[in-house]
Amino acid sequence: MQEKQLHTHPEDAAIVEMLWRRSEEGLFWAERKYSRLCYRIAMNLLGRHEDAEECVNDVYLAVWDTIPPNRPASLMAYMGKVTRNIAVSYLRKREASKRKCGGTVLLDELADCLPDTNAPDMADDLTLRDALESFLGALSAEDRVIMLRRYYDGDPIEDIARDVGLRSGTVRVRLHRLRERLREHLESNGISL
Amino acid sequence: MKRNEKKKAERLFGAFGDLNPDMIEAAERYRWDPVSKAPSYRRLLPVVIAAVLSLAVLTVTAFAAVPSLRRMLNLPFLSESERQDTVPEGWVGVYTLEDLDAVRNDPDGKYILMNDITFTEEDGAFTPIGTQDEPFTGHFDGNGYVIRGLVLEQELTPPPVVHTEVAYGQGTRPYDYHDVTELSVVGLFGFCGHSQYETSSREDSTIDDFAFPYLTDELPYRGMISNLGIEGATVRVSHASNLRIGVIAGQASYVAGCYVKDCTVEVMAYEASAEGAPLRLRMGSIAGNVQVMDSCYASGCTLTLQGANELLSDVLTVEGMNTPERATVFVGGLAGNAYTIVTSYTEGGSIFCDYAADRTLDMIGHSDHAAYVGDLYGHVHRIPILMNYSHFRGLLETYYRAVNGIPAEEPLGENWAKLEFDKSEGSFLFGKFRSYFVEKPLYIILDIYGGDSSTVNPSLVTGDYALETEMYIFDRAANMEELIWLEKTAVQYLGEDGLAAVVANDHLKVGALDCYVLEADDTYKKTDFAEFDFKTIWEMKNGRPVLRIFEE
Repeated sequence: MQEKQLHTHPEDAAIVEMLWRRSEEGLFWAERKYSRLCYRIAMNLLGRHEDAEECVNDVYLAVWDTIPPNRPASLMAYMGKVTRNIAVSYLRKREASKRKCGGTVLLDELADCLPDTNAPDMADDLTLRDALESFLGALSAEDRVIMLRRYYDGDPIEDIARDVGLRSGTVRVRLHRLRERLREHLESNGISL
Repeated sequence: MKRNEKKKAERLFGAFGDLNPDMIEAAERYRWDPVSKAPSYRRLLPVVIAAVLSLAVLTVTAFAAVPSLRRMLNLPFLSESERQDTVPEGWVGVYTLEDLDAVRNDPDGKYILMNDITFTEEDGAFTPIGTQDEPFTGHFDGNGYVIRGLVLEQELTPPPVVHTEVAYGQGTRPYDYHDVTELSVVGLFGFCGHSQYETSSREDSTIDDFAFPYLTDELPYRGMISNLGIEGATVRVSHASNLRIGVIAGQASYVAGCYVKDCTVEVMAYEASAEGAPLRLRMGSIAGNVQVMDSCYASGCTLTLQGANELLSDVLTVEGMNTPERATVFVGGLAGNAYTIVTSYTEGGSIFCDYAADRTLDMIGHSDHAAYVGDLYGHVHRIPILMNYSHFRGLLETYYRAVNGIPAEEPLGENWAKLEFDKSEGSFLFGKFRSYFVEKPLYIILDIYGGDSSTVNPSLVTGDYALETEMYIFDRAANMEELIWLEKTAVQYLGEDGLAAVVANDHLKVGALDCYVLEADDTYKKTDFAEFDFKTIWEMKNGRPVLRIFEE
């Protein structure tokens, strides 16, 4: 079933190729294939349908504007990343209103992971990413999914619980422990943010 | 949280976005294995209870107070329109060719034609009203009068060639294509409507007894043309590359109660000098591209397309791509491309398309070629029956029978649709209804995002593929009651406000097709035309339906 369904869309590489050649068809397929993903991430972070829609529209524009010059190996990850970046910029704009939403809740949670180190210099992006990847790589597949679904997609805990076959309470506790472990991991690697 | 803490948290959050794409993809596709980790009864119980309750409720509510489909789509102005003798307040009367030409100066105004207008040879070619940059967004009411002898002639600028490279084998090769992004629109009106629809409020609706009036809220009220007849027009364009062309409009938003008669539309395609598609043509007697066409007809019109043969046959397949680059040509007796056409017909016309010369014209163009040529219209793009681009929320694992609208507890079978609804907060859905007409009777495809409960990142299942899968149906026997039932189902789960929000966000519409191609030698009776409103809009004359407002 899954295999058949995938055939209903062009492969990512083909879509990227279309975008690379400035074919609007590429954007059509990118939207068709990943609109749900983008909307989900945007909605998770922004918490309002209108904002999420606007954010996703900006994502399409950004994808159109950035491919080329970028040529992502994974269109899914690329669109997810662009969505997160735009959603975060929306969050910053919204800061003045102090409205709570999924994004701010996530940031509150991630504050648990902030390492308490005496390192004089802030870790560069590459070092931080490597540290994060090494942490996630050492986790079980289930824990890794829980972390990524929460802090990459911003998914609600209930959704994650459903998809990994656990109770919400279990996922909540698991996340709490994982955040502690991440903080320890960052500290042990001398990462300063 | 302190400001510096927040900045750090943001940085950490941002770092998640830079992770290895493989890791991200794996997480997105992950789903627990129900065999190795069976769900507890405690978790399943609410789902089972909800499903049983919903089936019970639906059985009771199905078919209550079914509104008329026709009234859903036809706007009241059609049935209420009678020829006006005086210019209504807030409208501008159009008496002369100069008045008509002046419409372009205020494209957001309301205009009413107060007499017939006849062009003469001395008048020369008319310039279409409304462009893509400055579209006509008002209302032009023909008031039952006729424009005769209109001439539109344009020689367009050939599209520029862009030099680039495409993947080829292990490397690349040069690839030149025509940049056809610039759109040309030719008709009495060039471009009507808005790129964004204006949503009218429910209070504006004058439909009294309509159960779900918000279904009409998203109709494109802006850029409307109604009650207008055009006879003996000549529309001619050369060097076409990206063109929408029709006698009434190139790009139309809402055309209702209009007809064209004994008109010719001629297009000479631009001869390609590069590999990529140089021709994107939407060509129809009434409109090249139309959102909603209601109660219109085309009689004795000739559509001619030349120079498309080579362009269409030269399909380039790019290595590594499964979608070939190609020209697209939609030519139809009423419209080249349409979202919705209802209660309309065409008769006695001819279509000469060099590409389609060896093919039988269909009522609606075939979809297996780059050229879609049909007696009625060339291509139907997402004709909405019940819902177009609509998301549902509802209960998990609820099954509905999609034939005859009767829910029942039977396993999935040939005539069953499975709609998966997810009620969990924060998730958005799934069911996406989309419909096509291929010929009468109507066909419905339930396009559904999602699969069974083990599917992550559900894909859209659509078109012919929907015929192949055991999980989705392609229902040839769907009927009005079913559509209403589905609508009620949506209300059931979303509530009226919820559905209204979905309508506003997703351009939901209701539509139907009752269109005909009339044979020249046959005479017809009222009973031959389903859903035609012979009480207020049409009347029979010499074995043909004609629009009542044009008859003195």
